Amino acid sequence: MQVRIINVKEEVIKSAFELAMERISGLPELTPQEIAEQKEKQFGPVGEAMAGKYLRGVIRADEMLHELERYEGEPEQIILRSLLSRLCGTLQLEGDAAAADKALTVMSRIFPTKQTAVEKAAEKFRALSGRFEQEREKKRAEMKPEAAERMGITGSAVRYNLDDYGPWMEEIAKLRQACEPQAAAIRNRLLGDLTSE
Amino acid sequence: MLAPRIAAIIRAIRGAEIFRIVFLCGRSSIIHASKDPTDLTAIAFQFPELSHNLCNLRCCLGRIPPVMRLFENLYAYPWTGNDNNCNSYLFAGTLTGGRHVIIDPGHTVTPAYREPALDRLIRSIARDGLNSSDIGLVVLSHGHPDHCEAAIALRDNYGSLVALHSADEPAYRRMGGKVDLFLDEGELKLGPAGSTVFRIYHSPGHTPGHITVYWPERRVLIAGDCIFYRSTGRTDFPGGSARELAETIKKLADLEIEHLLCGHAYGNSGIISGEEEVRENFRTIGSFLF
Repeated sequence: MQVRIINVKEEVIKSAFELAMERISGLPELTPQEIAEQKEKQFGPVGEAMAGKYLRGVIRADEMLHELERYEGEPEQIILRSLLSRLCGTLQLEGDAAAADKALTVMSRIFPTKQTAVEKAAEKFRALSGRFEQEREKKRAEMKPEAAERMGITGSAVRYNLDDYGPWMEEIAKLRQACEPQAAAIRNRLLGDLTSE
Repeated sequence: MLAPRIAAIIRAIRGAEIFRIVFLCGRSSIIHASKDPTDLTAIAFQFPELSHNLCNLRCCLGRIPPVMRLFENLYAYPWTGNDNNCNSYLFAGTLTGGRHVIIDPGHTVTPAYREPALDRLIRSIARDGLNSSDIGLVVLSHGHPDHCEAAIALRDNYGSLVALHSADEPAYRRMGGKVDLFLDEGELKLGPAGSTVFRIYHSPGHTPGHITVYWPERRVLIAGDCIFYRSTGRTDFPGGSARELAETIKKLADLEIEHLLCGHAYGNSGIISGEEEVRENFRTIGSFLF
């Protein structure tokens, strides 16, 4: 039997990790802004997901608070900011009123010292929402699709489906335009109040 | 009273194109006039006085659905095809501008045997001298395709408005339908200055958004799939409830009804006429339902 001898050149065998580290050592250092962006990317979705799970009823308020306690320092701040942003987002004129109530309740629990700010925002939002709803119903009652009116279709059993009806969409867009800046101001003010020291 | 009238009709139909004509009078007496096709003349619906006086009337005219003019402006189009489809009812010229109201236009094409149901209905309406393009409002008793599929075509082709209860709207939307008016318990006024008034009853049980249409002026109830001749609608479909259907039937039984127009020709033509006959129907149903 013939034996073949292979002359292996002597060299250090490196692991994949070592190779990766070698490569990144050549890269420039991250700027503080880039580091902040990275952290935002890492922790922002955590807060958003937490709020989403709470609003959908997957977790309870105390479970969410317990979850929040796991974070501290900068990550906690980032998570809180995105969580609040998602919760404040429920304060929509044509949104889910139950979700908005749920969001306001949990905000008071997260910031027990800022309960007044939450209550004030809730009061303002409910008043605005009520005015919007009232005005919309008034307009709805006045609105009668042209075809139904032409054929004489009326009565207490009838409610017109105005969803795709052009003149109604125009009316409601005007109303939204008038009320939406006020709703946005309430959301921003609340977010500012809760995130300020 | 009845026998001479029927004898007159049989004499009148001699030599027509009808193959068979069946009269169901009351619950038990059935007069069946069946002769050689070449021997018969005329069609029963050409004798409007018949519809008023006979308790139930069924015409078997080959492939052409029978037509009944129950009142001056109310036409019944009972389905006589082989596949499942509903009876349709039309109020002629009830809307402003002389447009018509149809209740439950049924299938466009039946699902199993591919029978052109809407086409037959349109031809039947035309035979009555009415134009289907004048249908301005389609009222749907509920959102099952055997009642409402053709409403999509009527809306697309003739610009008819479609009315349905909001609870059945999702089912209708899944079929591709669009609702223009939601109907719920209350008054439906039609025509110039609301000259025709219907009372709409929310009648859940067969479906959650089932409605029945009551015409108090003539004591007519269009019952959809709530009540049939000696039976009731099914409750095993999604959203169905036997308990709710029983409540619905109890409520409807309190109405003064002279003509009960059912959604299907099960057991008879689907048209039960005569106050006592209607009451008897409710009693029979009540005996096994409550």
